[in-house]
Amino acid sequence: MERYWLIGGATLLGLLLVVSVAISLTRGETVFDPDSPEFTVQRYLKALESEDHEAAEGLWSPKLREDCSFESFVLDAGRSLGSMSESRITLEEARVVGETTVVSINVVRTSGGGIFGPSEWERTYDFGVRQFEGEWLITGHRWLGSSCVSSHFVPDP
Amino acid sequence: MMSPLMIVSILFQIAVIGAIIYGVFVWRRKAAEAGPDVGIGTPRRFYFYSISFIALMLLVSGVTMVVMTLLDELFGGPVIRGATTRLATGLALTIVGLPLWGIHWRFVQQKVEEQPSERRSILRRLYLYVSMGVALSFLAYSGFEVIEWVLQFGDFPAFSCAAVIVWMPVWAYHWWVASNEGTETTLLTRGIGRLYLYLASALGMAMLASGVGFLVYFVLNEGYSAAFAVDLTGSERLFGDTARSALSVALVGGVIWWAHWIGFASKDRSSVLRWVYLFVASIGGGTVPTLVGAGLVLYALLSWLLGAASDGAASHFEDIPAGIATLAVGIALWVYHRRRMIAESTDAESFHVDRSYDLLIAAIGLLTVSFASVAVLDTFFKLISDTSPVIVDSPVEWRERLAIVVTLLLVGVPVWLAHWRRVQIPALADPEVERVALPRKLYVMGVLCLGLLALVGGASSTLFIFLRDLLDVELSANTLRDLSTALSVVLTTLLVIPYHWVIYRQDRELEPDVPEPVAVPMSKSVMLLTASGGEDFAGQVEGALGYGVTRVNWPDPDAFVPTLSPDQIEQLTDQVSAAPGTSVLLIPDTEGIRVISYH
Repeated sequence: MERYWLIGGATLLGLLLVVSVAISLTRGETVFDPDSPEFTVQRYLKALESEDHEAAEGLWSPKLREDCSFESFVLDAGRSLGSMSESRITLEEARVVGETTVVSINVVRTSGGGIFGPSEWERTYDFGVRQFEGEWLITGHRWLGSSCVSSHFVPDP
Repeated sequence: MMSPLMIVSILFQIAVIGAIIYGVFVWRRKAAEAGPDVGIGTPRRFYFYSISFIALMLLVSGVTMVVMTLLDELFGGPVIRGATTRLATGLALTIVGLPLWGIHWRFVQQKVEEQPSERRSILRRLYLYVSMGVALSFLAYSGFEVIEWVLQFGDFPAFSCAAVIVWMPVWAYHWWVASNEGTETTLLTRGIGRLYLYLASALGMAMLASGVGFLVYFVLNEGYSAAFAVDLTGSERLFGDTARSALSVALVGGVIWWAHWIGFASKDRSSVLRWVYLFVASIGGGTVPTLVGAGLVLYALLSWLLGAASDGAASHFEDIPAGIATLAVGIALWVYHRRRMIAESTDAESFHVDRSYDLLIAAIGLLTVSFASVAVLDTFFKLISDTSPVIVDSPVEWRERLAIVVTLLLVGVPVWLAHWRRVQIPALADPEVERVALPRKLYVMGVLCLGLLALVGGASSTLFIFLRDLLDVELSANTLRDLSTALSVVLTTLLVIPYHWVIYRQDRELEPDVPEPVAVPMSKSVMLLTASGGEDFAGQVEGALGYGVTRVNWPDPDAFVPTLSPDQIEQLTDQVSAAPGTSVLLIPDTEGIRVISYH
């Protein structure tokens, strides 16, 4: 009887591992509509992760670029940008506030280890995205350490 | 108010401390039943079960992370940026943990099949029930989050869903193994199983009671707010997050309690742990909340009647729903567990169970009355010693104190009187049985002991404050104000201690006379040389000496077993006692037994 328990459990476990790996590898990141605020946030995050600072700064709104230094933002963000490669980022929601769309993202970072498994760190951040001449640009965000960029999270006038 | 999870967390910590105390208690009693260790040996057993446990935790953590990844992929939100860290970590833990656990667990299972006595191992039982306990903890917390999510409150709980999926079979497998151990159990291994059962029952009961209590509170509070209060925000609490959280706690707790208490523990009768659980659940979970709830309601009413309320009626009575909810849950737990106690106690047990129950509740009543006494005396001393000029007179403070005192008296006096009378009336009718009963002795000695401790503490504080002001030449009315609390404690104990001292003296008079102590002979290390078959003779010597004798086999051809008359054996014992050495060698010869002593 016990052998059936163990064989059944091991089979189920093996199946689970194979399915999980298969699904994780075949399902990639969500492809958003290129004409959507979510797509802009995704592009922005990917540009920052790959250290394509020019592309990332290009997604800032004119007022954000005028008031804040992108270089200062990158320096302030420091190592937090580097740890993005260990983070899974999902879309929490996108809600419209006047002319601005607030895109909320959920960041989960796995780290450490131990007898009861590794620990996970989870936070939600908001990005303000607004359309300028047909293009969705970031007006500010409550993410990472830059107070200037955070203070511009309120919609541009 | 404390959240249900906070209450559960506190109860869990209390349970862990209780478990440790019980573990030490049972450990002390194990030797009688355990018998010789004929299994794989303690060091190997310790190694195999420790590694099995650690490997199991690694394996379950790994599989949980893999399942979590899968669930996130299937049911999580759109992915802005994927990450493989969790999957890689989960796979690594699984790949390491699975063979490690499989090899070690297979080994111990094979040994159990070869040597069934291995099932009596304490370490095996600890492994099984600690694994189940860890699984149950994860299931309780994760189950709560999953139900919250089902009730459409919060984000998709990928970890909790994964934890339920993974820990459930782990718990079921270990439960199945433990329940198939057959008759190869000892007092200690049964005790470990019972400890798990009653801790799980207590956890489930606490979660169920606190969840239901909060739900009752939300319903009553909603009704109260709708009827009397002006709610500026538009209350949604009845169906709000906190109410749904309480419902989730109640549902998870209900399942755990029902499975463990109603299901698994139903056949276990008359064990010490079951009685401990019943007393704790009945008094700690029932009586105390009932009295607290009644006290809250009474205080609100009394402080209003005595004019101690400083705001409007709607605001003043806003604690009434909390009081009624606590009262309702307390009464339910009290009645249920008291009925179980009555139903489960055998004729032999019912006397001690009833007396213990009455005396424990009488103790709670006495403690409440003592608090009332301290409060009333303290108020009195502060009133008469307050000589400072009054700028703004505030009678509300004194009325509040009065309301507290009357509440404590109204709660404590009936409880103490009712239960103390239930002990005293039979004690007067049948003193030989009742007055020497162990629960009564423990109660009286406990009250005297605590009373004396309080008296010593209060008296030393009183003396210190008096001497301080005397030496500083500052003796005044302020001295009385400073020592009012300590003096109140002293006076209260002077009411409680004499009464219980009289009870103690009366009970002592009825105790049977202690028989004169029988002189126990001082034992010596006695070695007796006899030919084979001399066991009976050695027994006769042991009987006469009153302690054990080591028989040494005499293999020589002229060896023999001596034969002595009762008088000669008595003479021999005198010789052994009189011998100057601490050890004695008895050598048979043709004239009897030669006694040689040595150190």
